[in-house]
Order: sequence, then C-alpha cells, then structure tokens
Amino acid sequence: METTFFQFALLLGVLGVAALASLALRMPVVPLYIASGVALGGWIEPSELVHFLGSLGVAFLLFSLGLEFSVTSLAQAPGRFLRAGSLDWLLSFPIGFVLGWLLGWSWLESLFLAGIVYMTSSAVVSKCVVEFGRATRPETETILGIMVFEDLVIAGFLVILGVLVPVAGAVGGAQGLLFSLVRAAGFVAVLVMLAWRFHEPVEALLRARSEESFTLVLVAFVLLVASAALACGLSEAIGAFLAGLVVGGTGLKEKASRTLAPFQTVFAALFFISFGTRVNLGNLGDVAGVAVLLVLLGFATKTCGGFLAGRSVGHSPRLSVVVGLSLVPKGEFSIVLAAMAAAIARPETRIETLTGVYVFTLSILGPLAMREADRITDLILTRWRRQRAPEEDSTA
Amino acid sequence: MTTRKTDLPGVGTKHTLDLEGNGELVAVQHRVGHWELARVDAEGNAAPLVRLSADEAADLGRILAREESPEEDPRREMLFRTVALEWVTLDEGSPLGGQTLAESGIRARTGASVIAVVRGEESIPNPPPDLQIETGDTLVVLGRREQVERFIETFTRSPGSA
Repeated sequence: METTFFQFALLLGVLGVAALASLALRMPVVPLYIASGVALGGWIEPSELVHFLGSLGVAFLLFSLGLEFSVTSLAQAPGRFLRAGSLDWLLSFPIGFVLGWLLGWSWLESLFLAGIVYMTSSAVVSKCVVEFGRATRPETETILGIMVFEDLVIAGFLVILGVLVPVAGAVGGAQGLLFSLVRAAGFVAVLVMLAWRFHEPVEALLRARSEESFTLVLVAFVLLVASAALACGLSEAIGAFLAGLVVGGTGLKEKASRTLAPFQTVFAALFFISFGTRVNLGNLGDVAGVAVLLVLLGFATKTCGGFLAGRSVGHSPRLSVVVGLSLVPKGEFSIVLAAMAAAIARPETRIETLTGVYVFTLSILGPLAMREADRITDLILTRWRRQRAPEEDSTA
Repeated sequence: MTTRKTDLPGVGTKHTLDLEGNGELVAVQHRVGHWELARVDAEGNAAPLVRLSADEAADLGRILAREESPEEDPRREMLFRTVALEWVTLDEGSPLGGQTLAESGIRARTGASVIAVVRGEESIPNPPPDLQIETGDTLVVLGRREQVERFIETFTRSPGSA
C-alpha cells in the first residue's frame, strides 16, 4: 500500500515539475511528460493501477475530442479548407503506410504508422498561434482549418481501425469475421444515432441536479460506453470518443468539458509518463535509422503538404511555407495511436519507441519551426529566387 | 464595405473588414476575451496594431459607433471631438530620419505624442525614447487636432520643399 502511494506521489511530483519546466522553457508539455517517463523507465515499473488510470486518461482525452467535434461546424467549414486538408492528407498520410510496408510490417501496423506520422497536435498549434501573436495573420485561418480537417480524419480513422482491429483478430473463419464486423459496426451506428438524433433523452439523463451528481453520472456514462465498446471488441478509446460525440450534441457540452478537465489533466499525464517508461532507449540503436527517417519524412511531408494546401487556397508562396511549417508539431494523438497499436503490433516493430522519439523530436522542432517560420521562409525564398534569377536573365 | 466573420477553432473568432484597396483590418477576439487588431496588406503581411482587453474593446466599439448612452460621460464625447489619432508615414527626406525619439523633440515642438512606431511587419507600441526613427516608418501620433496637424506639417515635408 505504501509503495502504491509512494509511486503515485513520485510520478505526479515528477509530472508537476515537468509541467513547470514546460512553462519555463516555453515548450509543449507532452514531450516533457514522455521524457520524464523515459528517464524513470530504468528504475520504475509502473503498477497495473498506473496503467489503468492512464487508460482512463486516454478515454478522457478522446472524450474531449468527441465533445469538441461538431458535425455542424464541419458542414459550415468552407470547402477550400476541405480541399486544403485533403491535399495535406494525400501527401503526408500514405508516406507512413509505405514506410511501414517497406519495413515489412503488416498492413494494420502500417496503417497505424500512417496515422502516427500524419496527426498534428492541434493543442500545440493553437497554443503557438496565440503565444506567437499569429491569430490575426491570414494563413492562420488555413492552418486551423486544416486542424479541423485532421480531427475529422482521426475520428473516421479511429472508427475504421476500431472495426478493423477486432476483424483482424477475429477467430472462427468467415463467420467469426462477419460477426465481429457486424458487432463493431452496430455499436458505432447506435452511438452515432444517439449523437445525431437523441439529444433530449441524453440530456435528461445527465442533467445536473447537483455538482456531485453531474460529475459522477458523467464519468459513469463515459466509462459505461467505453466498457460497452470493449465488450463489442472495440477499444475503450473509441467508446470514449463516441460518448464525447453524444454529449457534445447536448447543451451540456461546456459544463462537461469543465467538469472533466482536472481528471483529464491528471490521468492523461499519467498515461504519457507510463508511455514514456515503455519507450526503451536501450533498443534505440536498432531503430535509430528508422527513427531519423521517420522524423525527416514527417517534417518534410507535412511542410510540403501544408505548402500545397496554402497555395490551393490562394496564399502567396511565403505564407504557404508558414502554413507548412505550422503543421509540424506532433503530440497526443500520435501517442494514443501508438499505445493502441502496441496492443496488436509485434514487439519487433518497436512502435512505441519509434513514436516516442518521433513525437518528442517534432513537438520540440515544430514550435521552433513555427516561431522562426518567417525567417526560414526568407531563407528558402531568397535562395530559390537567386537560383531562378539567372534563368530569368537568360530568357529576357 | 464588406465584413466577414470566421471561426478560428481553438483560438477564437476573426472579424475581417475590407478596407477597399488598402488591405484589410482584422480583429480577432480570443476565447479568453481579449482582442487583437492588425492590418493586413494585399500581399498578406499582417502588421499587428494593438491588443485590447474585452472592456477596452467594448469602449472602442462604442466610440467608433458613436453610440450615446444616457449615462455616457459628456467629457468622453468632448474628448472624441478634440483628440486626434493619426498614422503618419515618413517619406525620404523627413527631418526625423536617423534621430532618436528623444533627440527629435517631437513633444516639445508640436505637443503631440508618438504612441507607436510601425516598421515593416514589426510594430513597436510605447516606443522607448532611445528608439531611432527611420524614414519609411509609420508613426502613430496622438494629440489635440491642432497638435497632430502641426506634427504632420513639421515632419513630413522635406526641408527642401518647406
């Protein structure tokens, strides 16, 4: 008992220091949580309880993603952002899949890698936008539009994976496969229907009679849907996401988000640190080449994808480079996907270590690239112009 | 005149006012309440203008809309009629080029105050006295109408043409 208490005190203390350090270093907090986990990994074996609370953290993280995700705002999103988002997706999503395939991974493992490479941390990006005073700049609208598009992609991706993972693991031949597919798809369909058509009964169920009852009923609802998802062969994360979608459609959205914020802070931090302890830098040597390649590809494809996206909505080349550089930060969603992937992937893929290194590097490089975007753009454009200038002279 | 309102997910709401050939005026209200104003030129370069608290923005809005509420302080209306705020871009040959704000004696000679300097994409609110002014800078000048007029007269004409 004392050891359990002590382990929690230690982990949360370290996380608190990491959060303070992120403030002092003006860095995103997630890579520091992971780094603390990596540092502690040698001498702490997180207890089952830490893992369990960490998975609650993932559930709350995805619940708030579902909560914020609104179908109406999507319908109102200007078509140009859908076009911009699709261009970025076309460039930066398939690359992870191809890389996984070249490494000899299964299609499902490669699909996870594609998602890990693709997902930008919208939390880091919107924080940087505010901190670097970019809110009024014209390209910011495009950047945030692409973030909305990415949320749409991750939502669809989670649902598809949710259905595919149990199908891939199904036993009992064609019949078992069909059963898993129908069960998973049925579960998703019921929840989407609830989110879409049945706001009132849900609201009546959850409505706050007192602060206590609201908090308890809400947490119970999230965990109930998550466990129902597990029972249907889906991951608890998808269940929580769908629960968020259901509550997001009601008038309780803001209240739910405020109520769960402290839980999310504590449990998600535990998830990131326990993820960090599973990142084994000891075997980094074996995957260092792949990790570097992953970071370079992630950086390059996001920058190029963002550049094309920027051009497609009519930004100048200068602003389009800024759009590209602003899509570099990676974070929470890549980690969540890696943790989901670890459940099905073969250990030799080292998907957690690879993702840990990938997210850590890009969540530090990303905000730097964003902050220095104007200077980097100047550098690229002057060099490009200098190369172009002689050609133009000769044609003149 | 056209205005647009767009959503900046995770940040706030953006209002854009088309300045007819002079780029756009952009006002972003952050989720937490404060406002950020910027001018965006035709090439898409944004020059940040000012950051306002929610209350200040509401006051500015009332002033610009010339709304008169019964409890409106009459002195405020008076202030609005007598005080001027002007953007003055210094052309080549302005006597201010190369001088620091302290050396220029703007306040002593005209009575007006420079409350911000806009240089390219950078803007410097509350400029320090040792800031060196360059031609091409845009000075944001505040004062009584006649003081601001005197400023424009004194410092925007090159010595040759004066």
